[in-house]
Amino acid sequence: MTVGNPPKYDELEISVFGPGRGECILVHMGYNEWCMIDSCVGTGKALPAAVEYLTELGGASLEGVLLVLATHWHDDHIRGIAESLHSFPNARFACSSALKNQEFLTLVQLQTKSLQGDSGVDEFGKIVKILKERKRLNVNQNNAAPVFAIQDRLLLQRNEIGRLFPATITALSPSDVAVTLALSKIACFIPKPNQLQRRITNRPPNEASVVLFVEVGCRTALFGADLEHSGRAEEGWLAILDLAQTRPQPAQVYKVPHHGSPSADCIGVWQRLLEPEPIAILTPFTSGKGLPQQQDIDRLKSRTPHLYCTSERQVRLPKRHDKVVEKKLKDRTRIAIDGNLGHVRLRWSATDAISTPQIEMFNGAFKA
Amino acid sequence: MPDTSLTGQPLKADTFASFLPNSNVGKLAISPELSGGARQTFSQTTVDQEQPDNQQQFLSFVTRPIPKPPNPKPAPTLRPLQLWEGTIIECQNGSFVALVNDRTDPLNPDELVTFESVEVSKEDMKLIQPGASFYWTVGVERSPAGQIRNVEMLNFRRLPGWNASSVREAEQEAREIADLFASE
Repeated sequence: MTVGNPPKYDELEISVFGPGRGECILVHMGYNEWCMIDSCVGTGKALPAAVEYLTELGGASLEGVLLVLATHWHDDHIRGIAESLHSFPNARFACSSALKNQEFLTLVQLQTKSLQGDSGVDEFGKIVKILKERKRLNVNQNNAAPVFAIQDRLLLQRNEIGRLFPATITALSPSDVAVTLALSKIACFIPKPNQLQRRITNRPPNEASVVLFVEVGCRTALFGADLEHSGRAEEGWLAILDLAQTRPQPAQVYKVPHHGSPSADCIGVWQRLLEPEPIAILTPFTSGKGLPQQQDIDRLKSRTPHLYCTSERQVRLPKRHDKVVEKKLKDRTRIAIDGNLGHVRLRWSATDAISTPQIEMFNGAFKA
Repeated sequence: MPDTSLTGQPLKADTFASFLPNSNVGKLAISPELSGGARQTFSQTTVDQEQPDNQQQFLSFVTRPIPKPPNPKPAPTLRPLQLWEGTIIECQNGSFVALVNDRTDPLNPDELVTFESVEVSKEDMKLIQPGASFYWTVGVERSPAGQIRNVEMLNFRRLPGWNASSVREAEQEAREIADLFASE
């Protein structure tokens, strides 16, 4: 894959990668300043996708990353996020307010003493170590403490003198109610004395996911994370719609939530938070039955003709092994859960309101 | 010549014999080095003429052929070809689904694999629960008689339960981290 040149100083870039283990959005805020939202690592790759991409782009981009945000703690979103944070010396870490709680931090510490694995909790354990080390080294204190996202909190603002256009990232979720609900569920994961050590495999719902509204000059984007539409007021998408009146303009680009799942689809979002026929980008989820299903694609295409997908949702055959091993495994049900890591890249002038976006697709990404 | 004494001094026959209950004398297996040393020491230096009966008794003991310990039953050998580490994700009726990570080649993608509970040994059955960790090996087993067969094995990891002090320690660390973050 040839990624070509870096974006121009006044271009918004939204690069969506997925679905390796995890998924990732990389946003160019102008002036070689970037934000990374979630993280993924491609099959057989050593580096997280965003680190690899920015290294290929060159131009000191790793130093230009200012924010690394974990929308939630599921490992299908944040694989490699600690390594990414380590690679970006100027980046501050941000996550859901639900994760600053004592119970979650206890869970992280317990997990570091127990079965190490590749779960989202392990990634948070590594992040805590990086932040403690930054604090100890006393190099850049501003980057040593995380930013905790909660509804309507401004996470990043770039409007320095000399900048021709401002850039902001605002959290639209989680709501206070969602945080409370999430905390009660996280507390259930803390083991009791004498309970056997096990890995954490149950996933709490996604109500504490961080949804983001991004403004770069005249461009706007809404990143839906894994937030679901519970139908209950004060949480999920309904809590965000309550705030919709305070949003000055609808978004032109939409990262479809929860891999296009019907449980995350809320018609009010399309009507009130998005421009008509926005550019929608989604990443598949390859585990289990997989997402999106064909009916999900059809539903999304009925909402916008500009639907892009980073990869086909396909059941991948597992890696073939030695023939003796294969013979032994021939009757087993096996599903490789990593997908083909595709990449959709949008570049759009942040200063020229009548310009059209340039959308490129790499490594199996396609327009639905 | 090996020294057979505990103190650096050669043992006298009666002293040595006194350690040996009569009923057990014939059953003892003494290593060749020890027995050879004992025989030579006894005959050359410490067996005097004062107690001929004991001497005769002891000589008959130490000069009899010492039975070799029976060889342990030869065990089959396993040549592993593929190793995964698995974590149970979901338990179903009579089967379970695990996320397995290729330890032979970690760059291979993880897989979801279904196992039947009957594949698990009776002792490990109680460990089949979400979050349990196990190793899954496929390899070639060679029996002592030279027979070869392809085998796969599930070995569950037995980890100690959490103790109250570990949980307290983690809570304390969590408080410190929370304070660290809150200080900004």
